[in-house]
Amino acid sequence: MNTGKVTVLNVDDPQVPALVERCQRGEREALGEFYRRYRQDVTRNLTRVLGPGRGDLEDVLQDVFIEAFRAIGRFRGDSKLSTWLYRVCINVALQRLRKRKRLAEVPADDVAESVSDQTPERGLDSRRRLDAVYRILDHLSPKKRVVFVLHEIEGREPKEIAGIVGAPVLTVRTRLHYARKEFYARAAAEPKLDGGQQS
Amino acid sequence: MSCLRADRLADYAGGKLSSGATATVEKHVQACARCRTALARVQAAQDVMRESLELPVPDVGGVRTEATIRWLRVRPQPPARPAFVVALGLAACAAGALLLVGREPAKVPIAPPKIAVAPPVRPAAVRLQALITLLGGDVSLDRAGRVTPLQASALVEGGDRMVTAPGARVAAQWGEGSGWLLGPDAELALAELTPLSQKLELERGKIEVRVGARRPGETMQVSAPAHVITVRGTWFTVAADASRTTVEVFEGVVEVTERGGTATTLLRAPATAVFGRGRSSTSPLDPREADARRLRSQLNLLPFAAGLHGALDASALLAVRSEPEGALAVDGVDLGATPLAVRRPLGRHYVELTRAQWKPIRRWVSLGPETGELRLALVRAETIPEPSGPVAVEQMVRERGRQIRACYERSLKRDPTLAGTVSLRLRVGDAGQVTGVRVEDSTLEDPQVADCLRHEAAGWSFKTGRNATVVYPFVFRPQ
Repeated sequence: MNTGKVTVLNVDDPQVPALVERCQRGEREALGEFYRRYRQDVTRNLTRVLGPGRGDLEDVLQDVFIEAFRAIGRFRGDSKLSTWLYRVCINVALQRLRKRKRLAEVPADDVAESVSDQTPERGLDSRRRLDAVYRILDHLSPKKRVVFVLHEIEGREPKEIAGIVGAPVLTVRTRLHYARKEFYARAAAEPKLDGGQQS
Repeated sequence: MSCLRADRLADYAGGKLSSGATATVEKHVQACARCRTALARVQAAQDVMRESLELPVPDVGGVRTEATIRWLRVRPQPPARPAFVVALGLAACAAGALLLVGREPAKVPIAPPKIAVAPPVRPAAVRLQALITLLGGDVSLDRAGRVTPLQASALVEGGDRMVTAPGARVAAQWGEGSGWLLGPDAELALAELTPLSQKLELERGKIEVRVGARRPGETMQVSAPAHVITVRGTWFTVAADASRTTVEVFEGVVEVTERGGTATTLLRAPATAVFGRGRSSTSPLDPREADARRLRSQLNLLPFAAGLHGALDASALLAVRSEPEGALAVDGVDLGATPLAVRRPLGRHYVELTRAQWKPIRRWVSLGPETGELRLALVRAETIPEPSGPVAVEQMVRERGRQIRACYERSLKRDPTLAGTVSLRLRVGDAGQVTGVRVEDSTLEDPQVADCLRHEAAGWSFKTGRNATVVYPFVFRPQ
């Protein structure tokens, strides 16, 4: 499902190289600025991969920035900072998903807090269906899930996904094929996705 | 007529099929009720995913997370030197060597060869260093007559002397399972610290010592002004002043000898004894009290099997400051008042900061290889609306202790060193019943413990506390 809507982190502006340099020197103020600048984007991307309404979001957010600050010394500007941070974000999310699988976590019942511009009934119905979608995603392996979200929700092409997850394009295509097959087979059998009649 | 695959229906819904394939799918769907339902659900899933792009971003990671991140002092790793530069360097060396070999020898008078005799390799001076694992309050270090404030990152060695101010404490570790905790207002000299002999001299105050497995011939003793306590594989505390020495033994046996005298007493755990000049009184220590004391111990021992440097590599210092000061517990062990620095293994740790009348702070902290600093601000309890009475988790944990222990002990049989913390998030409903359990985090290697706990907690019902969510950490350590 390519919506034509690609999620990107802030487009790098001219101040970014200076900010990176200050972060590389370990300036605490710069780390704070970096965090404030990218927090929203990282949160949005993590929510998409991990699912809304998860209690561990803040912890994962923290892990992303810790990992980013640790690795920023190796950032050489070959790609945009936003693209680089997105890669870190996906890798940390992947680790989190693996951990969830290991702990056999029971997902929280609560889903996204609000869906704007909708009546309460419609909003509730949307939330229920969104919850159903993420419950199906919970059944996919972490690697397949990430590829699926990047392609089906964010509309990214396999080549771009390959760059993000650090795998060959062919591998990404294979993962995507099986992820779609598994996801849509489960979705087709999921009564909660019926048009708002199910509880 | 067999039904269409769901991903094929998704391709159709997404307009990805050719016109011929689209017509085939449409024809099939019109005739097949099952595929019509499947298509509707697939389209619904696609709609939901599309709408999810518009969802508002959750407001997480506020001021506190920012403060945590800023104070974690993560030092960026230096850029890696590209491998080809190294390879190039090596190739250049090799080429140089080949050139030298291949060159015509210069016609110069040949000097008699000098035979270089390598000096015999002398073994490095055998000394043992101890790693500071906990530091709270003002502690001074006297090394060769130079007195400086003790730093949490320091290593101490034989000949050093430490003095703790009132309210201060310092813990150090020199081997696997071996370390000491010096209490407030105390003075300790490390008379000797070598792999085969450790002699600590306690001038005043109280010291808690735990000694792990020792090598043949290895001795360890603590001298108080009036007595000498020799260790035979144990865990004990010594409190001393000029004439009186109090010894509590939680594990193993210690031998107490009066200085300048011949009177020797063997103390077997669990026991407590008070020694004065020429007299002593010994009494057994309640085994439950001894167990409780061991569990509450602030010795903070780290895995030390790979030696001092291995322990340094696998751990990092976490410095915790708070405003105002509060009582800090890390991974369920009370470590005393902030500010303090504690050395813990790398990874996630459960930090709790409490102060009477103030809202406690409980959170997981990731500790990386660099020193981390955590600054926390407590908020007065009055400003926080109470949910509906406290949920009596502690009481429940006491009542269900046997079942909880069984979850851990089952896995402990497979891995006798299994230790860590499992944090459960419990949602308590209207009637006090647990309506949801989630494993918030676990540092245990074996996921079965967390799973077993989750099932156990799912059946709980609390007499007090309604409509609340609590996170409770279960700390497991082998006895």
